[in-house]
Amino acid sequence: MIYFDNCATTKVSENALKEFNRINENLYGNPNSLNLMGVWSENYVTDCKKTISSFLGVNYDELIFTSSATESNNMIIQGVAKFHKNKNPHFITQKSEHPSVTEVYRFLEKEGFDITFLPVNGLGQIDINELRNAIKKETILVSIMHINNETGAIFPIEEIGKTIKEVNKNTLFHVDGVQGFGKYKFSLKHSLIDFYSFSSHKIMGVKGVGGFYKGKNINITPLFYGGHQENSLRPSTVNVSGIGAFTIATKEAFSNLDENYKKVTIIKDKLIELCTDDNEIYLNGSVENFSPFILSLYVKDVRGEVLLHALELSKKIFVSTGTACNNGNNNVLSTYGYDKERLLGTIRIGISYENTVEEAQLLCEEILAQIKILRLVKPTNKKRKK
Amino acid sequence: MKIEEINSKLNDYFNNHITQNVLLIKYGEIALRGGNRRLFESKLITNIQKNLKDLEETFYIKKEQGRFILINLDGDVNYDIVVPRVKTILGIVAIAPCVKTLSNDIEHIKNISLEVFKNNYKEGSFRVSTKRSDKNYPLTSNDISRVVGEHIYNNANQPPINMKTPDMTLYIELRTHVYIFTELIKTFGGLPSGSSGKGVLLLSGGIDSPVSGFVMAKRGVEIVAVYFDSPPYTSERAKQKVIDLAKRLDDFTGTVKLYVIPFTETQLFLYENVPDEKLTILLKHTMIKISTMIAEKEKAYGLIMGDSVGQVASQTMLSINAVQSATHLPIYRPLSGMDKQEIVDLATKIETFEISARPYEDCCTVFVPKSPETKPKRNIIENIARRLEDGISPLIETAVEKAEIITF
Repeated sequence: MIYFDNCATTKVSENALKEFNRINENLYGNPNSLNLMGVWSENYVTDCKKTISSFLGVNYDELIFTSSATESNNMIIQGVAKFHKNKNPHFITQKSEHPSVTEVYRFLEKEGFDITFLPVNGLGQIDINELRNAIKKETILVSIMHINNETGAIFPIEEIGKTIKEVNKNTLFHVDGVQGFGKYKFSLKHSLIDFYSFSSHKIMGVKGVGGFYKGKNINITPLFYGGHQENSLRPSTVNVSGIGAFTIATKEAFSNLDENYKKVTIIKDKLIELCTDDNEIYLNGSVENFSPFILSLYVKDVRGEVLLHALELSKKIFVSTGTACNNGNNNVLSTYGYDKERLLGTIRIGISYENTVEEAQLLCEEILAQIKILRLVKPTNKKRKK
Repeated sequence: MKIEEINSKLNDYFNNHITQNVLLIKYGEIALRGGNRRLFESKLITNIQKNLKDLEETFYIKKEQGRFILINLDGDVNYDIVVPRVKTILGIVAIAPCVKTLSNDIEHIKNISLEVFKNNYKEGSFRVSTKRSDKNYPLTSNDISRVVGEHIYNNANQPPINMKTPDMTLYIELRTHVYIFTELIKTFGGLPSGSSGKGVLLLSGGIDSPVSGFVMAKRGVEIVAVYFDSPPYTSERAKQKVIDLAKRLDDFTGTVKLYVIPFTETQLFLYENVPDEKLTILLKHTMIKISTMIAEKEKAYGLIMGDSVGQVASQTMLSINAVQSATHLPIYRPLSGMDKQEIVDLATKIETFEISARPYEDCCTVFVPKSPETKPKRNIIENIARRLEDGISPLIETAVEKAEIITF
């Protein structure tokens, strides 16, 4: 089995899993209980926060744990909207965000909020001047992701952060950091970020843990009520073992950041070199300013989903598609201006540092072998001679 | 469990209980007349038991003059769980949650009836309707209805009585035991599965084919379903969808068998050898051919398809005529005269719609030509089919051999 769907989710690292079990067996107290076990658990979670916050260069009490990045993004956007709802707030985002951002804004728009959706160009980038012009006195929040989850496009968040604050120092900056956290070097402080969301299961932690950074003294209204956990922002019993595993995974990711980055860059380069050379396979986006962890390929005259199934059937190789079979709308690639043929013919390869160059070679060989067969049936339905 | 053991359990219960909640099941008596009646009854009992087999309780089904009484040997029947499982079974006309009691003493009947009335009455008028099989009973059916009605009227705040169009009827049936109920739930009716022989259903993941299978199953046809699996052009999830549809049909009949035919190679062969605009019709021709082979294997006497005339190119009358030569068996197309909305309504009613509507559309669309022929000529299609026969025969024989068979 070869797993190349690592931007959807990853396997859990050995040490993270060990920690998960250790906590579940030994430190299973409720951090909000008065007893000693509760105190130990609370201290443990605080230590976890200290570890993670140190890698982000922020204070530990500026981190909030949630169940996922989707929850984090919802809490941030809806939380800001609710807190400022009487001030006629304005929001800015861009069109190729993850659904956990875009759809929240679509919902707010229906509720009557003023939202600006910035377009992106063929390389997935926004026009900074357009952003500058969009910011108004009432603009309360700008949400721009760090790295796009389908194409790997990297947004210049430092430049974006500075632009925002230059125009309106009261505008808050929210970055969905899921595909960059633990993978891509950057400085949260230099980027003038106010909210930064992340997820555990994309970096070999367990599923069901996420969180976000919220700058001190920034207020949001909570989504849930029913307890005082996480400064009353996120009531629900704290997921101690999940947080523990996530902390170990974070440590592993950040300690080897440069090394891992080099590793996946070599793998991605290999994949591009082997696949795109004269096989009518094209890169969606470009090499420059795209994350090495994500590779989006357009395979001409083949349905992405068919290729995906062909790879899993022949060699148990798991990749992902840009989009499901006949659902070509509302897709990241369509915001780049690609046509439907291209959306349906796209596969996404999610690379982990655990993948090897040999695996990349096998994947390419298999892609090339399969498309030879699959291209006998052309989805474009060009009239064949008979 | 031995019958003596069951009987003693049934009686034991009434040592310390006065009433027991049971389920009365009516089946289409007229259809079951004749020499096969006993066979059909036991078939129905098997089907009912099958739909209940995963429950913890032990159920006993007692025959009572043209109806069944479903009894939980450990106490009351839990209607919330049991009713949805029984009401799907074809051959059953109606079911009624029902109170069973042993004594047929009229004072006892009056009291229990009042209790049943109070538990079920909401508002509006009522009447009492009685049937008795014990003709030596001192009161006539009408007498019983009258005294019980009077008792209810006097003891339940005098609800209005309406003999012709009541809002609620309290039924009393005096048989070996006494059964009292107020709500008769109409079910699908039809004939029990297998009472009319077998048919092979061409089952896709779409809306129409499961409905056509249901309609024929309603006439007692035992369903053998065939699905054409073309990985990598179809996905595992599309296959799962078909399995779930077959499982749902099995809730009605208790006998569905599903053949998953590996179809990729045949499909590619046709793609290579057939002009674009004729591909769909020849795929269909071939599917009918394979289904006929399954029918022979299964000793089935007909094929069932979900065509609705004029819905798509391959469902025009000319197209339907053009595929006929693929089989010597009759093809039943029970939806041929129905509108899409009618089919959707029926699919919703039998709860296959939400399964069919799952978004895992198969990727077979790569095989769908841009402009398929709507007026194929039968002789031309037959000619092409004949020309391809040598090439395709070994492929479809292997496909049938390698078919995966799923039962429920």
